[in-house]
Amino acid sequence: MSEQFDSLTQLWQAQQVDVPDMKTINKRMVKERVKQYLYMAFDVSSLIPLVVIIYLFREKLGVFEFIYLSLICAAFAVFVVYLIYLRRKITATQTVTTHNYLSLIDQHIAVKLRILKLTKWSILAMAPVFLVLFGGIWIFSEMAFSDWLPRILKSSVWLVVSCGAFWIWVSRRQRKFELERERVRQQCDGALD
Amino acid sequence: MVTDFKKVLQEFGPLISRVAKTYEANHALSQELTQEMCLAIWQALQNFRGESSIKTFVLRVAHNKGVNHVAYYARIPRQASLDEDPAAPLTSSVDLEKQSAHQKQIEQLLDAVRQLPIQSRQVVTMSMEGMSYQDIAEVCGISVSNVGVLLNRAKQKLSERVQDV
Repeated sequence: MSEQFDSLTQLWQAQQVDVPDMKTINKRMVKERVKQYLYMAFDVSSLIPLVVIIYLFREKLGVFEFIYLSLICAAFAVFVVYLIYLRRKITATQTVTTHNYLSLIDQHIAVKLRILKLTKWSILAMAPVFLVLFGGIWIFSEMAFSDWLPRILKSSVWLVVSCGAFWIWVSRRQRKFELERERVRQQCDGALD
Repeated sequence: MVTDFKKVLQEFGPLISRVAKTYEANHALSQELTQEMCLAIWQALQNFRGESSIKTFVLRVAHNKGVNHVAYYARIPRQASLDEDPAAPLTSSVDLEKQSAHQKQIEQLLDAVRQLPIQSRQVVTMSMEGMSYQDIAEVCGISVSNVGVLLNRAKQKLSERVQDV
C-alpha cells in the first residue's frame, strides 16, 4: 500500500495549480474591512433616529410618551451592544486547530441562529410595544377617538407590512443557517462528538 | 512576529491552491476559494507568533477556510467537469492520450479525496504534502496516534477508489 500511496503522492504533486492574484486579494481585503465597518455602523445607526426623535420632540411629547420612548431607546441600545458583541464573536480567530475550528463553526452558527431568534422575538415585541404606546397616548393625552383611530390604523398597516417583510427575511436566513449546520455536521463525520 | 505576506504567497501559493481543490471541485469556485484562503492567511498573519512553522500555520488557516466553504456550499462536493478545468495545450495524439489519462487519474484522486470526511481529507492531503505526523496533529488538533489511524483508513479508501496508479 505504501508504494501505491507514493504514486498517489506523485500524482497529487503533479496537479495543475492556480497562482493567487495579489491585486485581487488586496482589493478584497479592503472590501472586507469596509463591510465590517458598515455592519457596525448599520447597527449603531438604527439607534440614532429614535434618539433624534426623542430629542427634537422632547417638548411636544407628553410625560408618558417621553418616559416610554426613552425606556424603549435604552432597551434598544442594550440590544445593539449585544448584537455588536455577537458580531465580534463571529469574526473570531481563524488560527485555531481544525478540531477546535469545527466546534467554533458549530458555535458560530448557533450564535447566528440565536441572533435570528432574538430578532424574531423583537419583531413580535413590536406589536405590544405599539399597542401600549397608542393606548398610553389615548389615555394620557386625552386625544379624541376620531383623531386617534386613523393614526393607529396607518401605523398598524405600516407595522404589519414592514414587520411581515422583515419576518420573512429572517425566517429565510434561519433556514439557511440550519441547513449550514446540518452540512457541517455531516461533513465532520463525528468529529464534533 | 510579522511575516511578509507576499513571500508567504510565493512559497505556499501552489500548496494553498491544492488545498482549495480538496474542498471544491468546480474550477471557478476553487479559484475563488484559493483567493479566500489567501485573504484569511493575510488577516491571520498579524497573529502569527512563531509557535509553529509557517507552513503549519498557513495550512491550518487554509483548511479552516475550506471547512467554512464546505459549510456554506454543497452537502456533497460537486464533481468536476472536465470542461471546467483548462487543460494544457496538447501536441500529438500520443501526447494527447497520455495527458488525458494522467489528467483523468488526477481527477479520480481529487474526487476520491473530496469524498473523505473532513479530518481524514486533511490528514491525507497534508501527508501527501510531505508533512510529519506531529505537524499534521498540530494543524488538526488531534493526537499523533489518531493521525496514524485516520491516515491508514484514508490511504485504504483512496487505494480502493483510485485505480491503475
